[in-house]
Amino acid sequence: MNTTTMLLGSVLLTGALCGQQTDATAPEREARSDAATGIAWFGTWDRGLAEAKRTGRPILLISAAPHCSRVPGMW
Amino acid sequence: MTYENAAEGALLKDLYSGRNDNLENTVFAMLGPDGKKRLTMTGRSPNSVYGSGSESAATMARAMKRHARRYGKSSDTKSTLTRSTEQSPAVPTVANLRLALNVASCENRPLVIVFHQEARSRRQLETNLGEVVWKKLLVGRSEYVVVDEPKALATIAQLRNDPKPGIYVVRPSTFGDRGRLIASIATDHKGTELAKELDAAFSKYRPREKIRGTHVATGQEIGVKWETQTPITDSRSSRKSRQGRTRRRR
Repeated sequence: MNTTTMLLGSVLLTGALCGQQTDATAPEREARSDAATGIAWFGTWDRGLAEAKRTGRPILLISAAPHCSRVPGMW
Repeated sequence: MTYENAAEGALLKDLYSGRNDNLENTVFAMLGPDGKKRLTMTGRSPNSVYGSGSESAATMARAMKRHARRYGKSSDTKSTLTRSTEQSPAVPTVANLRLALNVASCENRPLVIVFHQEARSRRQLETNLGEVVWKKLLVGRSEYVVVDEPKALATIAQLRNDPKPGIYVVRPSTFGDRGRLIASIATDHKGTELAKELDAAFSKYRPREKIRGTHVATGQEIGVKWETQTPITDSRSSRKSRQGRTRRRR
C-alpha cells in the first residue's frame, strides 16, 4: 500500500449538486461565488465545518498526510 | 490533515480507525452539515466504501447527489442556503506556512500568503481575498495561508528581510520546505483588480513533473524528513519508512 495520502479536507457538496434554486436574478447569480454551485474544499476541519453549518450542506471529508515515507512534497 | 492537529486526529480516529484501532494515514467520510451524522460507512478511502471497480466512481457520485438532494430539500436548509449565497465562504487556508508550503508542493500549485502584522488589516486582506478566491477564474488553482509574524516568512527567499504587508504568490520548492516569490500584490487591491493579479500570477506557475519513486528516493538520500505534529500511527506507513531507511544503508 502506498503510504502517501491525500490532503485532509472537508468538502461541501454545494448548490449544483443540491439543485438549489433561489429567487436571485441572473446577474445576481453570476456575481455570486462559484463555491455556491460546486464543491468547496477547505484545508481545516474548523473552516469546513463552519461552512457546512452556514450553508446547511453535507460534508465530504478526506484526510491525508502530506508526506510519502516521511518525505514531504508528495501525498 | 492527518497527524498535523491533535484535535483533528481525535475526530478522524473516531470516524475511522484501522485494524489495530489506530488512526491511519487516510480517512474518508460523508457527514451531515452538523459534522456528526454519518451519511455513509466511513473508511480509509472512497474505494474502501464504494469499491475499486469500474462502477465505483459512479456509485459514489450517485450517493453524493442523493445526500445533496436530501439536504437541499430541507426548508431550513433552503433558507440557510439563500443567506449563504449573499456571502462568500471563508478563504480555504492551511493552518500555518510550514504546512502550507508542503501542501502546495504536494498539490503542485502556487501558495498565496496573506501577510500583515496588524490583526484588523490582516482580516481585511483576508476578506478581500475571500470575495474573489471562489470565482471560477481562481477556484482550485492555489493554496492559501495567513501569516502574522515577519520571521515566519524566513523560508521565502525574497521575504526574509523586512517584508511589507501584502498578498504574496509563492512557488513552493520540490519538497515544500522553501518558496520563491512569483508576485506581490499591494494591500489596497481588491475585487476585479485583485482577481486579475492573482490570475496572472497563477498563470506564471509551471507545475513540476514529480515521479513518486524518484521523489521519495531523492528525499531520503538527501535527508529531507517531514516531522508530523502527532505520531504516525499507521503500521503500514511505519513499515515502509523503515524499509526506506534500510535501503539507504546498503
